[in-house]
Amino acid sequence: MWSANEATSASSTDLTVQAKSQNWAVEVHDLRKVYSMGELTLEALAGVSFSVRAGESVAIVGESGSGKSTLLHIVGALDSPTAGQIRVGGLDPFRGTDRQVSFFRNKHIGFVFQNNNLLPEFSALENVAMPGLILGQRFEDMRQRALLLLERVGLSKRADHYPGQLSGGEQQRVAIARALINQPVLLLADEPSGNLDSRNAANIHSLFAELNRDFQTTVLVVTHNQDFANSLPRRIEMRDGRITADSGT
Amino acid sequence: MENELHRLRPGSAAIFFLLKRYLLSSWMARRRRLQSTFGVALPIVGIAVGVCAFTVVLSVMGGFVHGLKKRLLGVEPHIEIVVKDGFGRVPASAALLEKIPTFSREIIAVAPFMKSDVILQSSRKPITAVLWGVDPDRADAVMQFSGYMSSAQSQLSELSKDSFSDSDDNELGKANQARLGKFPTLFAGDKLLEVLDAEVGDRLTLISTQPDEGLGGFAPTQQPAVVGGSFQTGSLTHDSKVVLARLELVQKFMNAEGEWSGVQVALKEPLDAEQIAAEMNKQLASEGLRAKPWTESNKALLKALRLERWGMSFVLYMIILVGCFSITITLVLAVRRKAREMAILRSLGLRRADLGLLYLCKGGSIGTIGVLLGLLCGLFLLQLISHVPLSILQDAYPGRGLPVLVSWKELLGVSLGSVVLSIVAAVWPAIEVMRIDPVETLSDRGV
Ligand SMILES: Nc1ncnc2c1ncn2[C@@H]1O[C@H](COP(=O)(O)OP(=O)(O)O)[C@@H](O)[C@H]1O
Ligand SMILES: [Mg+2]
Repeated sequence: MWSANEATSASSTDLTVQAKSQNWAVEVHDLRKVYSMGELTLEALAGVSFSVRAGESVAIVGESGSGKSTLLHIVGALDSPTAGQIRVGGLDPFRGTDRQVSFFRNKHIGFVFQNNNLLPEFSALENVAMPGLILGQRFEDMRQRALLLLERVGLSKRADHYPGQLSGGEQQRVAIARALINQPVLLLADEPSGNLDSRNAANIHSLFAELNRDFQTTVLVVTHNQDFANSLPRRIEMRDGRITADSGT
Repeated sequence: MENELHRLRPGSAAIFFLLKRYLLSSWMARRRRLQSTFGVALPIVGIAVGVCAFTVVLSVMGGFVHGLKKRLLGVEPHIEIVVKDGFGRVPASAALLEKIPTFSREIIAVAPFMKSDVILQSSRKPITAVLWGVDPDRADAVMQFSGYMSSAQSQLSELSKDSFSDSDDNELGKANQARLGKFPTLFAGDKLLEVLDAEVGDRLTLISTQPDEGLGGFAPTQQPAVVGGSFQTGSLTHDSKVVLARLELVQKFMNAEGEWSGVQVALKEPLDAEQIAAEMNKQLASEGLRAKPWTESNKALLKALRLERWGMSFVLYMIILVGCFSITITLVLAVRRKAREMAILRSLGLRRADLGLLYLCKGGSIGTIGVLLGLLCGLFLLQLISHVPLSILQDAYPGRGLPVLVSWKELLGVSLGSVVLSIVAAVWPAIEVMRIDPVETLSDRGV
């Protein structure tokens, strides 16, 4: 639907999609991802199904290698599944060309990775504005919004600083601000505090809670931090590419 | 509703933004990124050096060849109109003389001529020469012979006089009048006179190389004449071979009254002779005539010069090519170094094709900057070379700089070519960057 053609031709179905997307931010059914390395095949995701309501905040926990990152990448349309169905905001991210999938990522998804999220040649402000530029906005038009978001994450004074001048925690906060600039349906974070000391980690954790509350953004966050995971309303536990527990159902 | 957001083509704003920063960051980065400074500066300098060398070398060569051509040209007519199939003669026609200048606005003068091989006999020895019959009223406009005459008083108009009539107040003329009687006047090249061991004022005999079928069987036509002056054009072929005489005399001598060997044409710009001759030929062909540019008789030398220019261009292109290779290397390294950043950009929604485009633009920008820098340096150097006398060149070019001739067309071609090459050089890096797998690059496995 978010290909240019369909968006104009199928405006009648827009409403239903909208209505649906208000209920479900993410719907995943029997998702599989198989890596084959020569003779060996490895099932990183072995049939994962779950749904996330719009505005929900979900922690994904599990041992290293249990398929959390793989799941997140697929939900964020950065990686494609081997099999299974997926809807994000009512849309199938993988229906379309690279152009359309990229647009989907740009508009509907905000990513935060564990570290080195930022582009070192660009100031914090420019980093935050970048997804807007990719969407086709001019920098001047993005500046105000980017500044607001930086203020929201408590870095308004560091707007003109470069990533090299920011601490790890500050960099992560800039990355979170950047993930929100295009008002995405879904904020995906892969161990956003994994590289931070406990105090900075706590900062990030409370920031997620606040943002989820203030913006009603749906959040899927992978974390090893038990306290953080427990503080979120819903927890999904993974093991060997399967969901072993889901507090939401 | 989402489409409203597309004020610019998605990505293009970002590409421009990224490009600007990636090119300038080397100079502005807070964190000293020596690597990327080198990375961008190296190919820029490489291409600049190539383009600069190209500008300077080819312009100096151009100046040299231009001078050489001028010298080669000497008194050679810029274009000769002759019969198409070689050795025939053109019927003398005033109408033709009037028609030729209408062919091109570049034509400034026309003059009929008669040319023939001849044996010159002085009192001491014979020698073969080329007898040029010219119309004294017109010939100077096409050949500027008067400017080369060794005696200032000698004008082509002298040729129309049978030697040393009473009205002649020429000093030399008076002295020799008695001895010479009334003979037609010739002008001969100074080298030719030297070989003949003759001087101005001496009597010579013209002997036809084509025997005449006279009453007494085959006997060569002979014509006594007087050397009325000598010329020195600086071109050996002329100075050692040519004798000038009045057109009518040569026609009579050759038994070819009412005929010309052809018509000589002078142009505003002799170096355009080839083109103009080609143009004229379109109209002359139907009359069985052909315009022969002066370059035709110097084909071998001019070809050699052109070949040399090609060779030089080739070498200089190679320099530029090396500069372009360093773009490839620089950008491939940049792709490797920035793989994570590129993957981040993909995760932010930059299209794969846009990443490729970014690198093509990078290559093109580096090339453009290099070309501009090279042109600037090259033209500045040329300015210097052409105005400041070089001590080692004082013999050849006393008191002034080297002659230069900038071929703007060629420079434009090289500049555009270099920019295109630098974009082509970025194709491989562009492919590399498009092949980055964001998931693979972003995952911290193995780190
Ligand atoms: N590109 C790949 N090739 C082969 N195996 C992979 C690849 N990516 C991930 N895996 C494997 O898939 C499994 C899940 O990985 P991942 O999703 O990164 O786990 P987590 O994020 O939970 O630590 C791991 O066993 C990992 O080794
Ligand atoms: Mg992981």
